[in-house]
Amino acid sequence: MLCARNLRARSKPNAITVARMGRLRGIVGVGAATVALGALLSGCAGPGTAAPTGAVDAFVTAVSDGDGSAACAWLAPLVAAELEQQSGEPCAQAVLAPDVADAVGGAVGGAPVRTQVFVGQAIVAADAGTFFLATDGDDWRITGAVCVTRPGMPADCVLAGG
Amino acid sequence: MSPDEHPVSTRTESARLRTALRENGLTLVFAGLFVAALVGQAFTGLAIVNREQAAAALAPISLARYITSSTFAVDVAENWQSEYLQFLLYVLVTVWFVQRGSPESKVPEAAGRESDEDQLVAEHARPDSPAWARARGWRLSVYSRSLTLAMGAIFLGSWLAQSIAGTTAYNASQLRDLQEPVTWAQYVTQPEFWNRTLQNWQSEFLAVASMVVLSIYLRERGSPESKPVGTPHAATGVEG
Repeated sequence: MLCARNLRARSKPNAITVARMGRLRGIVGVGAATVALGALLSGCAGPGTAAPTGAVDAFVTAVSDGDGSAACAWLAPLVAAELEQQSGEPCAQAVLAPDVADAVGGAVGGAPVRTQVFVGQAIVAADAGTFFLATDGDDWRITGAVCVTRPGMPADCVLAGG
Repeated sequence: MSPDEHPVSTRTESARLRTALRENGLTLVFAGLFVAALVGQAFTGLAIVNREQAAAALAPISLARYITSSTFAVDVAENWQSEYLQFLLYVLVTVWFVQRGSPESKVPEAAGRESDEDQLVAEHARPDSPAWARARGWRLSVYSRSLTLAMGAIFLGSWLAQSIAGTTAYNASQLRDLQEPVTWAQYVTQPEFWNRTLQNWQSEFLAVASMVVLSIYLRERGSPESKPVGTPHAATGVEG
């Protein structure tokens, strides 16, 4: 089934950036956020969406629906690996942990305010969080989720990978 | 079929082709080298990008996608602009600046734009001179600078292309590092843009200066870029 598509097999995580889980804990509006962006996609949509906003929508919707496997399928492999390493749990469980789910849900509250694509890399800025993505074949994978960008420095992200 | 049995027209065409190849060999050789180098650059650049994709556990991209990307475009354009700048400056600077003993230079007495008689223009033009060399006014003025105008236009176009493609490629790098992208106006004030530019310029300027000086003392028999082997070191503006 498409929405249960598994992450590809991965070896040991090659973590460079530590996912700063919980930094955005407490952001409110999980339900409202996911409804707006998730409307464009079914909650079960898997990778195969050609637009970066679609990947963000699907990821947020999957988290909102409690479908950890589908949510993790939208994460770049190193991001999922980093999450697993940090949490000590499989990605499908860790991505639904309250601190992550709350932050993901609170990061989006309507249409993205800005989407830019540059040579296989994309940024989708939403109301209360920014997502970074990279192309993976015909799909987009999230390389940084619920991020706060900082001048001259890498963004501070709830989910990020090496 | 023996050569004698070839129709006359076929032999004539074959001879014409050989003549055309011989008379345009210099252009054809460099055009071939250009294409070969560009193809090599495309494949090696793709390998670099896909190594980065693999390091991020992401799928590789195709050659078609790579050669239509700004990553490839900026690498091509930044070298083009510097090469055209090199020749633009060389053509222009050698009008006024000389180097005694160099076959690349005029004799010191000829520095400057030179007379109409020397340049075979206007009433001094020959019957077989280009039409605009026989003219006066703006056409003669434009034609008298047409080489630098063409080289300059290509240089500026390539430099602009470098800046535009460079902005996109730089932004891809920024996003890969989870940083905000920049605008074109911001990019052209970044060290990234000027470093890419200046690292090419310095090598071109060094190569020209080396050629000017080395050709005073060293020779390559038969090359028009060299003085004849037996020419004294002090002889200026003599090409083989």
